[in-house]
Amino acid sequence: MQDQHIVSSYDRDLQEIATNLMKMGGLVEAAIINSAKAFSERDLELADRVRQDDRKVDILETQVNEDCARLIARRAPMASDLRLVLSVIKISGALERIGDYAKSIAKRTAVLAESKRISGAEETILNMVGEVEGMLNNVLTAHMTHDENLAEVVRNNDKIVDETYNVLFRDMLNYMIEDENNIPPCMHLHFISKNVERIGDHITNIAEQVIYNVTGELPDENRPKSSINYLDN
Amino acid sequence: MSLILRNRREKRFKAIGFSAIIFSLLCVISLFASVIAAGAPAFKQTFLKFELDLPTEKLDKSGTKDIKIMKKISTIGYKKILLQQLKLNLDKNGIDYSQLSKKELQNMISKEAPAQLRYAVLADPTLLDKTFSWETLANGRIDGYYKGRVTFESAQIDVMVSPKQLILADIMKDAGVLVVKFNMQFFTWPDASDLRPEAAGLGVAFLGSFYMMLIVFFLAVPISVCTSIFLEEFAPKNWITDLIEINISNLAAVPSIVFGILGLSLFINFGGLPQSAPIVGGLCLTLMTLPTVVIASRASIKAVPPSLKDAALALGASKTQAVFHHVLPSAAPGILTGTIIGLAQALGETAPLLLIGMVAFVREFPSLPPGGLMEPATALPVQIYNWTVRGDPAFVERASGAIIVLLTFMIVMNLLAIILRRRLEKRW
Amino acid sequence: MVRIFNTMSGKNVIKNTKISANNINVSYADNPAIVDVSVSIEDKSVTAFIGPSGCGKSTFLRCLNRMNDTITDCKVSGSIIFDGKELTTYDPVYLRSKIGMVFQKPNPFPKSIYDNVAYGPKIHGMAKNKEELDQIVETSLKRAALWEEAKDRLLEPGTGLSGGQQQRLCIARAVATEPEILLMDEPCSALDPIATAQIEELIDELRTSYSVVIVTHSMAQASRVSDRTAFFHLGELVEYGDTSHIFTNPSDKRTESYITGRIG
Repeated sequence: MQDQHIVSSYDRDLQEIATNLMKMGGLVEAAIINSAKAFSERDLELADRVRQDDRKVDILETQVNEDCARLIARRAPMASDLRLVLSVIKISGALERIGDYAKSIAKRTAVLAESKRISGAEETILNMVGEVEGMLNNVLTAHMTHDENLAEVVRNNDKIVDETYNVLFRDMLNYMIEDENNIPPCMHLHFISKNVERIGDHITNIAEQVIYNVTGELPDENRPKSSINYLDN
Repeated sequence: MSLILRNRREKRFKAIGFSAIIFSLLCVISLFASVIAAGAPAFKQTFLKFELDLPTEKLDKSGTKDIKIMKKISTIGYKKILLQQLKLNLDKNGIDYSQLSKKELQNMISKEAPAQLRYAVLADPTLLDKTFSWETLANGRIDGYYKGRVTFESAQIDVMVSPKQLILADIMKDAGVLVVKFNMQFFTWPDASDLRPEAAGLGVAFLGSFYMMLIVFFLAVPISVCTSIFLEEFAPKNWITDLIEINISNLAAVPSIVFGILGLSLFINFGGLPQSAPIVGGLCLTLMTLPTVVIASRASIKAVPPSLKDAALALGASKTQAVFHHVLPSAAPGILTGTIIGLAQALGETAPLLLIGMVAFVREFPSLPPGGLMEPATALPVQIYNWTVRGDPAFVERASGAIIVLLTFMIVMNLLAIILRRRLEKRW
Repeated sequence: MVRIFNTMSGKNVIKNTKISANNINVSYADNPAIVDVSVSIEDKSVTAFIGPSGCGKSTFLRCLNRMNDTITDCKVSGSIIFDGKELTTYDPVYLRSKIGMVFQKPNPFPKSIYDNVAYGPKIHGMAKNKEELDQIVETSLKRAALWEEAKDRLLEPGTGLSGGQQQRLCIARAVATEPEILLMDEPCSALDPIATAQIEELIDELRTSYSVVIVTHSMAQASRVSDRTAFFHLGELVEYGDTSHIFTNPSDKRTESYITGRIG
């Protein structure tokens, strides 16, 4: 894409950071997929593994932050290099938060195993997870290929996730009004859906950082949001 | 190349260099030794010490100490009186001089002496009234006896001296009538004729050289410095200035006698300046010194870092201001050194002066400048040449003495140049 | 061939132009050094010229105070307007008292500190008597942040100071003639980091009274010190704009390559 730096160790440093970031991306993607699988099959062993694997994501995030700090101190990056480093720091932070949410979903799966299943809600949730998983894949591709249009697409996708979340919220309320035995599982399901919705928001953050990195400007403050006010009923 | 071979080659090279230095040193030492050996005796001279009681009635016939009347007594009169006074002095000391004829006794006194006594009396007529001690030169051959040039054997075949005179001289020396002491007059008296080598001195030569140095200094230095500043700073760089540069470098290599021919045709024949005058010599030497000083000045001006001039220009100094306020003061040590070296060179030049006639025998001191610049004079190196070609070995001795004086001047001037350069360079 | 004349980038427009150059071409003995450069320098600000070696930034700087006139074989064409008048109509001697210059290697005169600073005012007749001259010297040394260190040794040679102090002396010397523009040609390249920081602090103070144009090899310095930056490459002005814009998101790829240290 761009020319090499005259000092080749500069490029090597950047490459190392990119590799670590991609590793984080891969781990977080796997965490989302696995936590969804554990949720749908009530696989407690898998859920436990997801929780353990989050440790690796945290270690990588610390590593990326340290590498970026060292790069700033040693290389005094300018222009595109500077934007790259700043966005990487923010992206790794966002990825780490996403990993935490996946861990949280896995934790709730263990508790949910004792309650009755509400299949309609669970299906919706799995759809939402599929959506954000696609978004994460796209945004990581957009980052690697410097594709701001793809990042813009990802930003718009979050609208669907938000809408789905709002609809599910109304449904849950109905379930809980119908039968008070539904309240415990619905509460847990709600928190899980909230986690997925937050994952979508963080992915949108990543998309905005990609756009900043490529174009040099942060996209407009008004990100596409669902127009439904979920308090209306 | 192997280390051993390299070391060996280096040692060989060092050895060659070292032996070259030793050889040169030996040459210099032998040169100086021979010059000093030959010339040292010139600084001593044999004098006769008199108690003079001059007969007033013979020298001041009118008794009024009127110079005009006293002048009428010629040198010959004083000669007779001197002989009489010598006899009186010898009698006083109980020295027997009966062996010598009157002529022989007279000849022991320098032929210069009567004239000197006459000058002294005319300058101060009160001398007639008192008894005063007076020193006068002994004859050149007597002097030669005390310097080893004249021996009893050579005196026997010599026309100018006899062994009897030498014996009397020894007796006089023991009695203190004859003394051998430092010869101040060598520096102050003018040249003397062939018969009186003992009276020959460098006085006129000093003055002539000094006047010429003045002319060289006041003409060559400003002209050369201004030329070099112009060439270096103001002249446009084109083929004309290149040509001028080449010519100046060539002039430095021109044989000095050519400048003598130039001086003869240009200054004397065309310009009508007097022959043998310091002005002509000075002008010739100026022309000779110009290239040296120009080249030295240019080198020192070039050596001033251009950042200095840039700094001055950037402050709003005009080119002239930058050159005269900054470049010139910084180049001054080099220019000064070049000047002194040029002057030292000019001091020792002989060939051009020969051609313009400064080789003549000059007895009169030139007066003060500017008038004195037009009067005939001679110069140190020329005087040396002059004395060397005369027959009397006393002159050879004096020539060697003059060489010592000249060499001393050169060494002093060169030392001055080195010291000045060291001192002024420290300012950087 | 249509040239893209407007190489301005960034949001701000120049408010008060102190000196503006239009279509400047400079060549040394028929070798072009500056090709068709136009740039406006803003008043009371710091403008940095950056670019690789031999790109012409120092040559262009010397055009602004007509120091190129002192170099033989140097031809300058184009117009430079200073305070409303064409630069060539000014007397160069007067001009250089209004546009001061500081050089890469500190070059104080081999005179006393006092004489160094007093030289400019003296030759321009700015002081009527010794008291006024003393005052000018003191003010200039204070402006150059050298007064405290130098006030007890005003008669000592300027060459006896340290490198950083010498450069500050040169700055004091340059401001003594009350210039309106100060040109600095890589002023810190011969100095250690602490002396460099002192000079940068000084430039920060100077910007309130003078327009400063600084040529520098250090991009970090250019980004720290200047309000606007101009990037020169092979004699052309490639990009000129706000410093913050140039160093975070330059418009021209060549600027980007140079700033990030890439080949090409």
